[in-house]
Amino acid sequence: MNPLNGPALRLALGAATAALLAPGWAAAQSTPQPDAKARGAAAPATAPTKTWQVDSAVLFYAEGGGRVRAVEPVVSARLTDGNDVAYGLKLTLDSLTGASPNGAAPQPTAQTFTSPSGKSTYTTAANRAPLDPSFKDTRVALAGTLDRPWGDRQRLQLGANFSSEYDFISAAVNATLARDYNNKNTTVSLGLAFEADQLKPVGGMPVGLQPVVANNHRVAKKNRTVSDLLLGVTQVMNRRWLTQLNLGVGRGSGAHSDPYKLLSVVDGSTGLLTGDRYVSESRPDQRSRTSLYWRNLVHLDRDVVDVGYRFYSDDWGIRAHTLDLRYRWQLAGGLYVEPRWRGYRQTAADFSRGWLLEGPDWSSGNHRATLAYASADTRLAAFTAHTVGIKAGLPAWGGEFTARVEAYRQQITQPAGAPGALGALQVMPALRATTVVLGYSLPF
Amino acid sequence: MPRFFPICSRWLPACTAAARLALFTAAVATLSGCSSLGVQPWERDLLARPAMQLSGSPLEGAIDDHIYFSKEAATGGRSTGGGGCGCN
Repeated sequence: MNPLNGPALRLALGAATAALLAPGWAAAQSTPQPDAKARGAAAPATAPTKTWQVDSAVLFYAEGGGRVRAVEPVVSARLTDGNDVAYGLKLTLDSLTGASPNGAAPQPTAQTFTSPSGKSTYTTAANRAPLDPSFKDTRVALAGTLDRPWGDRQRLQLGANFSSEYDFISAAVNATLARDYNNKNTTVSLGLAFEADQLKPVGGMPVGLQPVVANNHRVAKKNRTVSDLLLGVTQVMNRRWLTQLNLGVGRGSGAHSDPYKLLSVVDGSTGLLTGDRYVSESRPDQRSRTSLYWRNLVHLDRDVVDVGYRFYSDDWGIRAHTLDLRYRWQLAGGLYVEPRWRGYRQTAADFSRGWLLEGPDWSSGNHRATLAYASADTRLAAFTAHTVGIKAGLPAWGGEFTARVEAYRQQITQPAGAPGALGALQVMPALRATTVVLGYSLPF
Repeated sequence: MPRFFPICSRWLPACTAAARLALFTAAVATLSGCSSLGVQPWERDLLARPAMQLSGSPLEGAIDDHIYFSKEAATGGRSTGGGGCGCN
C-alpha cells in the first residue's frame, strides 16, 4: 500500500484543512479581519452562522494654549455571514472648535485681522503668533465595506467613504485584493483608492499669492482628486513573528492651498509689517507621495512588541520618518497595559516660508510675488514630534473596554534668517496636545 | 532623492521610483521565496491571538490617522482607506 494514500495521510490532511479554516489563518491577512473570537464563531466548518462585531470609540482631543479642541465619537458594525462574507458600516462624527495659527508672523505690536467670513475681526497681542479663533466645524463621515473570499486563495475588499463638513465634501472608493501564498504564510495585496474632494471655504477660495484685502478675487469652490496605490506583503516569519511591508504611491491633483492661511510681508531690515502686509498662501496643484511602511508584531512569552516604521517622501520636498513602538504587557484576567512611544521627523516643503520679504519675495508696488509658491503653514515646516502614551484594556460585559491617554508635542524648527524684530520671536508656534480615547468592542 | 539613490539624478525622477520598486520587489521575492519562513497550520496558536492581529484596533488606527493627517505632512502607509478630511 502506498503510504501516500493511507488513512494516516487523509487524517493529516483533514486536520490541516480544519486548521486552515480555524481562526488562526486570519493572522496572515493584510486586509482587515474580524478578531479571532468573532472569526472563530463565524467559520466552523460544520455550522456556519452569522456573527456581529460592534466597535465604538470616542476621541477627546485638546491642544494647549486655547487652540483646537475636538470630540469625535465613532461606531462601526460588522456582520460576517456563514460564507465568510463580511459587511461593515462605520459612522464618525467630529466636532471641532478653537483657534488655529493663521500663518502670519508675530510682531512687536498687536495685529488685527479680518475673519475669513469678512464679518468680524480678531486681534492678536504683541509678540504672539497670530491665531484665528473662528475655527469651528462639524464633520459627518460614513464608510461602508464589503470583504469576501475571491476564489480559493484570495480575498477582495471593497469600500466607500463619504464625508461632509461645512466647507469640505469628500467621496472616496477603494478596492484591495489579497492573495495567499506559501501555505498562507505569505499574503500579497494590491489596493487602489480614489478620492474626490470639494473645497468651499468660508469667504471663498482666495487666489494664491494675492494681497488679503476686502473684495479681492475669490472662487466659491475648488476641487481636488487623490489617487492611491498600495502594494503590500504580509509574512509569517515564525510562530512568534509577523511582518508587513507596504509600498504606497499617491497623487493629488487640484486645489491644495489652505484658504485660511496667510503670509506676512515684512521689511528686510526691521522685520516689521510693510506694504501689502498680508498675502494669501499658494501651493502647487499637484502632489505626488511615496511611502514605505514596515511593521512587526513579535509575541514574547506573554507580551507583544509592536514596531512600525514609515519613510515618506513627496515632490514638495518633504521627507519624513516615523517610528511607532508599542509594548503590550499582558496581565492576568485578560487585562493588558500598553505603553507607546511615537517619534516623527519631517523636513520642510521647498516653498515653506516664515514670511515674505518686501523686495526679494514680494513687490507691494505691483502686488506680485517673485516666488511661484509660498506657505507659512507649520505643517509644511521642518519639525520633530513625539507622542508618549499608555493604553489599558480589560474584558467587560462580554466585550472589551479600552482607555488610552497620550501626550503629543511638536518642536518646530524656526525659519532661518529672521530679519530685525522677528529674530527675537517664535515665528512658528509649537504645539502640545492631549488625546484621550475610550473604546468598547462587543462580538456577538 | 539622489541622497537615497545616488545613481539617480534630478533629471531622471522616474529612476528613483524604479529603484524603490526594485528594492521592494527584491524584498517581496526574498520573503515569498523562502520556504523556511512561516509555520504549519497547527502552529498558529500565538498568531491567532487578538494582540497579533495587524488590524487589531481599527477604530483607534483610524483616529490616529486622522490626528496625524491633520497635524503632519506625511500620510499613508498602513492602508488605502483614509482621507475624507479638509484639515490638511
